[in-house]
Formats: sequence, C-alpha cells, structure tokens
Amino acid sequence: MPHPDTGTWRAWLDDEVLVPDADRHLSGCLDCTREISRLREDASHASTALALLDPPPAAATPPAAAPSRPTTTRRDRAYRPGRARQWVTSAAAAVIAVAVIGTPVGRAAAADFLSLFRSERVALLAIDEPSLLKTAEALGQLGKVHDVNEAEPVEVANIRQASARSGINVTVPDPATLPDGTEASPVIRVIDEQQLRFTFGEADTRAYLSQFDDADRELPAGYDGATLLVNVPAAVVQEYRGPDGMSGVLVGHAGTVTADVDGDIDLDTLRVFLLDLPGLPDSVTRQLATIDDWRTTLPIPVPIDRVGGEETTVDGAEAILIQEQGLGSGLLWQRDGVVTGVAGNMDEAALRAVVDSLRAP
Amino acid sequence: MLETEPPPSAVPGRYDAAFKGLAERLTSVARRVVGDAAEAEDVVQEAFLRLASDPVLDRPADEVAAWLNRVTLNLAFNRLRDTRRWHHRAEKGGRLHAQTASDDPLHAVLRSEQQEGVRAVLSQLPDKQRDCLLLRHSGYSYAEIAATLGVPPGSVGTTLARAERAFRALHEES
Repeated sequence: MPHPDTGTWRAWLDDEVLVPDADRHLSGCLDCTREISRLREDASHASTALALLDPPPAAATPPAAAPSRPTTTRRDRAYRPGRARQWVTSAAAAVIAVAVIGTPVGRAAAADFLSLFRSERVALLAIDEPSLLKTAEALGQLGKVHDVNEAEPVEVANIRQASARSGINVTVPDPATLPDGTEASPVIRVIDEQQLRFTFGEADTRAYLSQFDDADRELPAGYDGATLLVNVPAAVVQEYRGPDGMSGVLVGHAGTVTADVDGDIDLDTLRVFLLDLPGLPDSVTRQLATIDDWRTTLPIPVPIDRVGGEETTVDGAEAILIQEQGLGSGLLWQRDGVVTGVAGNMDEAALRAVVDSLRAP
Repeated sequence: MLETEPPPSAVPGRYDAAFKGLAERLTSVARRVVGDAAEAEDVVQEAFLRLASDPVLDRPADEVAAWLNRVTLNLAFNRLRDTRRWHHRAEKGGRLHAQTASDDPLHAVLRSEQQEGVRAVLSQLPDKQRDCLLLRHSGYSYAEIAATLGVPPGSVGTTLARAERAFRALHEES
C-alpha cells in the first residue's frame, strides 16, 4: 500500500475519509505513525489555543457560547460544568476531574463500554469531544440505564474523615512543593461509591442497528436482558487554592473500577460485539481493540481536541501526563487499587515534585 | 438569541429560516475572532443584511450557508484588524487601560493577553488556512469548510494540516 499523504491522514483522524487497511499500514510504517502523531499534536495545540477565545465558563452566555458542540441534552449532561466541576478552573484539572470523579456521561461512556473488568492499569484513550458524545449516545441506545443516582461531592473536615468515608488511604503533598502562594490547607471533598446498571435490550439494539441498515445482525446468545453492573468507586479530591482564590493544585484519589455482567453471556463476547457495532467512531474502537489486557486496563478518555496527553510513568507505575500549554498539567496513575491524579497550573517538573512528595498524613 | 434581528420582511420565509439556522453558530465563530458578544452579533447581522440583497439568496441552502460563513469571517477579521489599529493608536496616546470588569483582574488580563496572542497568530495565516482552521475547530464539517472556501472536499485535510502546523509553529514562537 502506498503511503497516504498528510492531508488524507488528517482527514482520517477526523473520520472524514476511509483509509483501507490503515491499521495494517500503520503497524509497519514508522514514518506514517510519526506523521499521525505530529498531526494529532498540531490539532490538539490549535484546538486548545482556539478554545481560549471562548468566554470563560462564568461569563458564558449559553446556548451560543459553544460553537462547535451539539446542543443535545446529552451534551449538556456531559459538559456543562456541574456542581462537582465549578471549582475546577484549568482544563488540565478538568480532565483529571473527568477521569477521577467523572461526569455522568463520562462515567457512563467508560462504564458502558470500556470497563468490563477490574482496573489495575491505566491507558490513554485519545478522544475528541464529538467522538466521546457519539460513543456515549450510541451505547445509550442499546438498552436501559437503571438506578443512576449521581453522588454529589460532600465536603469533609479533614483527611482522616475523607479516608474513613471513602475507604481509601488518602495521601497528601508536602506544602513546600506547592506553587508559591498556594494555601497549605485544602478543601476536601468525597464522592461516594455508586453502582451503574445497564440492561441490553434486543429491541433497542435492533432499532439502533436499523439506522445502519443492519437490523438483522446476529446478536450474541444471552445478549437480550443481560445487565452490565459497574461499580464506580468512591473518590476524594483535595483542592489547594491558589493566591487568586482559584484552584491551584488538585489531588484526587479513587478506588478500583469493577464491572460484571448479570446474565448468560460472558464479558469477552459482549466486548467483541460492542466494539464491532456500526456508528462508533473508528478512532475509539481502534484504540480499544488494541488493549490486549482489557480486563485490567482502565482507558482514561483524554480530550485531544482540548489538551495534549501522553503515556509515561510515576515511580514505575504506568501513568498518563496531560498538558495544556500555558494552563497547566496533570498526572494520573494507578497503584495498589487506587487511581491517583494530581493537576495544577504548573509545568511537568513542578507537578512531579508535588507527586513525589505525596505521603500519608 | 440575537438582540437585534434584521427585518424579517426583507426576505420573507427563506431569510427567516436561514437566519434561525445559522445565526447562533456564526455568532459563536465571530465572537472567537472579535472577542466581544455584541460586536459578534453586529458582524452576523451585517452579513445577513448583505445576504438580503445578494443573488446568492436564490441558490440552494448549502450555498447560502457557505456564502454567509465566508462573509461573516471576512467581516469579523476586518473588524479585528480595525480594532487592533485602534488599540495601537490608543496605547500610543495613553488612553487604554487594563479591563477590570472581572472579579479576578489579574486572571482577566492574562487571559486577554493569551487571546490576543492567538488572534495575532490567526491573522498571520493565509486566509484559506485561517478560515479552515477556525471553522474546523468550531465544529464545521469538511463538506461545509470546502463549500465555504470554494475548494474540493478532498483538499480540506491538506489545508487543515498545513494550517495547524503553521499555527502551532507561529504560536510557539510568539
């Protein structure tokens, strides 16, 4: 296969063209892999910079404030800053918040689709906002969600209370590593554990498939009525306010996501079926399909249209570094059953100093 | 909603439909360029007023939308250029001072500087690259961008890739 040109790869990243055998080509072509990586970085940079031109959330005048986003209810659920996110001021911190404490759709997208497992590792899932919405909307049409009670963050007085309520051994940073002017005492919030249940329905799924002229697709045995049970763990977020009263540094801890199926179908079969569904963004399914040890790897959706993300390590643990030029950075990793995220308006070196200082109080 | 709508009687039916469908989206894009909600609404209103007397109004809806995109972007960037000239003169004359309307003036000033930096870089790009970049990152499809720029849809990926690369290089230099 000849090398597709740069413009074709750029359009491919946006799902605007099909490149036959793209995956096979990329697996053997270092030049094209590098080119795509550069294209992604360029696009991410432009998107982040242009987003600076939008009014800040407090000054936004919906609905006209978000030019690029569909004004659906689901979009609003996903991205309107809720109570849990009002205090999140930097985009990098917001990413950590999405990953650690989550928004309903963010959680649903991860839980419905990505999390049929016990999370022991983290991996980066580069996804832009339209793809995240497309994925969440598609999966939401396959059945019914029950008993979603959105846990609100509850402020607690100290780290001991946070640890007791969440069941997590919360660690704290050395105040000396925080940027100058940052308050040494954090605001501490706990989000309680939740369970999400999603029941797949044959009628719903066939109605979805009929949009793609594929209503007769064979469904796996035991699919109809199978219920996906996802435990979204408790989380603790410490907010160290900066001198301007904004969030200076955020430290988040969350437990292990677990999932199981109640019904006569196994997780692997369900996963293969879901990944093969029409209507899901290729860029998403392609990345998910390459996770071999999916039963233990938690894909963290990173909005590449807003921030840059890369895989790295923290003290030997696989980690994700999120950076946004001029606005800060975040690190997210998993160890001993706890996902930890740290973010702030600082560069990577300063962030790592905070991370390295985390200790039990 | 826009505060000042053009007279619906100017082009009954078609005009209203086009206006309702496109104005909000165009206002958001224009706001990214001019940086002010009221000014963005003025820009879009002017584009629609021009539309009312332009023969393109008899063309299919997608051509009308492409025309409006093109005219709105041109008007917005013209206005940005004029505003920057005015700021330059005002700064020389000592008349300009920092905006302090925000609860957090330092943050507002920093953000304002970042925004000016982005707009300055956008203004340095060739027009097609600039418009392609802005439209794509405001959620427009390749087909819509191609129609706006008057280029084949197959060339949008190339223009966009060049625009993003040039934008990043200039922005990192600035």
